[in-house]
Amino acid sequence: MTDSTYQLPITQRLEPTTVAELAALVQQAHDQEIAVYPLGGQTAIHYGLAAKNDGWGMSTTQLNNIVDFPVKDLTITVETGITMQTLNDALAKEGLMLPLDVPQQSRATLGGVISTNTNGARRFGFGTVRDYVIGIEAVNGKGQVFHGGGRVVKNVAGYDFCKLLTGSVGTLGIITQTTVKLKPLPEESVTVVVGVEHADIAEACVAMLLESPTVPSAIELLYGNAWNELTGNFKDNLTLVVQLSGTAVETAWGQRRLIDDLKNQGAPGASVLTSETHFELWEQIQEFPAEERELTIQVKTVSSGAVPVIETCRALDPSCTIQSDAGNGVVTVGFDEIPDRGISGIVVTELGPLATTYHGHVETLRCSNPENLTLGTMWGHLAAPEWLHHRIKEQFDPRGILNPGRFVYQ
Amino acid sequence: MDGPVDLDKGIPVALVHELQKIIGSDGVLTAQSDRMVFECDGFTIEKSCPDVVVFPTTTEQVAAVIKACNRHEIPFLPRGAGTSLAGGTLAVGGGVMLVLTRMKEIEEIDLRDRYAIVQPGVVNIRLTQALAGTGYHYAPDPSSQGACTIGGNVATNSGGPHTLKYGVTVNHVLGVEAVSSEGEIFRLGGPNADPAGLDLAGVMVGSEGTLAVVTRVWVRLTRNPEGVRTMLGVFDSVDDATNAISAIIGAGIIPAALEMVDHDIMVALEEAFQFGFPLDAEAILIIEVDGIEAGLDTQRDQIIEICKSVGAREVRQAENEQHRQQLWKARKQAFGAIGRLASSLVTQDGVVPRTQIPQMYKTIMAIGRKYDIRIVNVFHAGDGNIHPVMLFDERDPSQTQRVLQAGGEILQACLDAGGSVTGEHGIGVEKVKFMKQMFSEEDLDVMAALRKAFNPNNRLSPDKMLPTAGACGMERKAPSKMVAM
Repeated sequence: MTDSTYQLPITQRLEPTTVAELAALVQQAHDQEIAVYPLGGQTAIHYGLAAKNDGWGMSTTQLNNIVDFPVKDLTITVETGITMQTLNDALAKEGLMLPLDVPQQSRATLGGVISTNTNGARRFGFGTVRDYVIGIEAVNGKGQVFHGGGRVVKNVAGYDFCKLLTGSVGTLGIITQTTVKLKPLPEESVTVVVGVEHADIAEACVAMLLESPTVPSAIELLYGNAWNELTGNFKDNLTLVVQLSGTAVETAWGQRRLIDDLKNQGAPGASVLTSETHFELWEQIQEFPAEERELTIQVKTVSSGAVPVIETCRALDPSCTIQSDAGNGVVTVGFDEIPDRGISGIVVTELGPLATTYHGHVETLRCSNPENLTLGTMWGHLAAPEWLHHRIKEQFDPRGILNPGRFVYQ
Repeated sequence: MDGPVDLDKGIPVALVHELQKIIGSDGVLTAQSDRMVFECDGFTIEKSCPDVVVFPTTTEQVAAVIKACNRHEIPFLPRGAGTSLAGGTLAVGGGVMLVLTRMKEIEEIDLRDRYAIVQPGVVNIRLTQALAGTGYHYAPDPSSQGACTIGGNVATNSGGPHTLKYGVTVNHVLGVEAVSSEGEIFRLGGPNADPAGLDLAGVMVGSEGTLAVVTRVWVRLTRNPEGVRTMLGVFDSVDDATNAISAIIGAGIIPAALEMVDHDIMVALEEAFQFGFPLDAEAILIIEVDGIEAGLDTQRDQIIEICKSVGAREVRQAENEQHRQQLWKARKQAFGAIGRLASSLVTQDGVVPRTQIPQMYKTIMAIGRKYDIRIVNVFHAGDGNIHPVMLFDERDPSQTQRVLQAGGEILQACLDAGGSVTGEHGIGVEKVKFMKQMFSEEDLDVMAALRKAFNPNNRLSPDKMLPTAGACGMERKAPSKMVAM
């Protein structure tokens, strides 16, 4: 799916083939004060505020090699223009995985995934981008090539640039190479599905699942007609979907146990999906945040916030579609039309305070017209003081050429 | 209010009076004899006494102390229990030391959302003890967990045996409250794992107290596994044991812990704990798998098979929880036990890609022979984190010099293998000189820039971690007596 909703003000697209070339170009941009927009697969180009100035598009897609793949160390070092599809295929051949569940894998690049901190359903069982990136190379706004971490899984030498750059939206450096930890592919994955009639039952089920000895790898709450075909027809109710991964013995035991446990929480009739439906459903869940629509927001709270947020969104617009990583308190809501209250009415007035109650915030993942977004409607309250963000930006990109306007420094 | 003042020159008396006013006289040490305790941490070779030691009990007191230090242009640094093995809390150049051990409350435990809020002086193991019976624990378990504080764990991004499966401290820190180097109180992150804006809580972890003073920590709580199997692999050669390590990981099994202890350490452990270790073996592996009970016997059998296929003499299994606890107690107190082997000990904390452990072991022993230094080994093997321990007599200057050279050569070998000079102990002052070998000038320049954003006057923990920050330049004449976990 190509993205037609937002175009960056790019005057020239550059595709350096080496890091040195990329660094030289950034240095030139720095000297001439030209904006630089890092580009990977451009699958998340709508993520962020509107760009400020005309500038160069700096594509990493020619930097796409596997640099080192010591399979038995369970790590891989790659250039960040590699697509998730290429990477995942290479890993799967060796029985390994990077379980991030990124949408639009044929285009999305690993560099983009790190920059936007894109995570998916299995974060409950397997963690997020920050748990996997152990080494990083990037080019800052002065054209300096810098590294953090290394290629070994345990390493505390120097400041952790891996964490600094994860989710920094390309504003502190263009990520050019990375080393990530890997996990063995599980022998088996199964999905247990059940319709949930009331919000309080949904909450009880999620709380139970968090403590379940079956150790789910994903706990999803779904709402909306879009899910009915694959999950069975639960109409106006919420659908609870649980993924179990492990050996065949573990998942066989786990699914039996879960069906009983869910029944005891007031959600009887759980069933196990066929393997074909299992794959289709998880793909649909994975792609949901990236689907083209008027407005997609993501509310990120603690786990207990998921059900109250879902209930509030349903009340705001019964025709919305919801996909929630309920074990982690992440609720993604798609609106086919921007509701009457407008983005700020939804994000700032309705959901913002609720998210704050549950220690979280609301992000606008996708909006047909980012010109309408503000810092408040895009990210809500920052998790660190603005002055500190500004000071760090000043050190890494003193002329403000990297992705100007798009992130939190206003 | 003003207490007695016994000061080295250079500290304004007015500052001491301000500190006494902020904290109360019982929380301010000025007498030389009192301050001596704080002249070093677990890295004992370099000593530098702080000019004043304060024991704040609130974040506001920390902020007021820092503001006072800034007004008088005096450097300052935080300290927890002082278990750093790299001089992370050495008061280079003196100044004011903020000892945070009186901030030791566990403020909140939220089981539904799986986090706890703790003050920085909470001793690591106290949190897991407070969680007893809830089905949860705090996962990072450094061997010093009975003494070290969570604030200190945050500073050094501490590891431990079970971090192989569960991750190190940074994987369990959701947020921090901190006081800036200029005395501003701020918060980074919180109970929610997804920050809006930069992940600066992640940046704080492992920053060795050089960016801000952490006064509160939001940590993740980890569900206890349903079941656990703990094995003891017995090997007649260290090569076989190290081959088993890389075979287990290479087979795609990530145990909860995978530790190697060689013969000499095992003998010392046996003398200390009478665990029943096979004293005629050359090496043992402690291998633990945990998770869903239904799958554990299969995993155990797979591991036993792998160990035997590379030549294990036998693989024993911990008979019960008590037996398992004894085994871990022995492992975590390994360094105490080695004390009986030699008058002086020094260890290194290198890391290599985990499949290179067999080769690295050979390299370590060759370096020991080259410098005629006895080396015994205990490894966080599954992570590739080596702890070779060099035994010597520090009264002999020649031995001492050879130990220093051997240590440097081992760390260089780790770097040559694509590894790191520190897996969990930190750079502190001990390894500052290795930063230039591990990182380029540009890398260090950008690290200095990050420090400048947080700590523009460099009054907070000066001369730590980065050579570019004008680091101490102290030539080491003798290695540390204390050893690593």
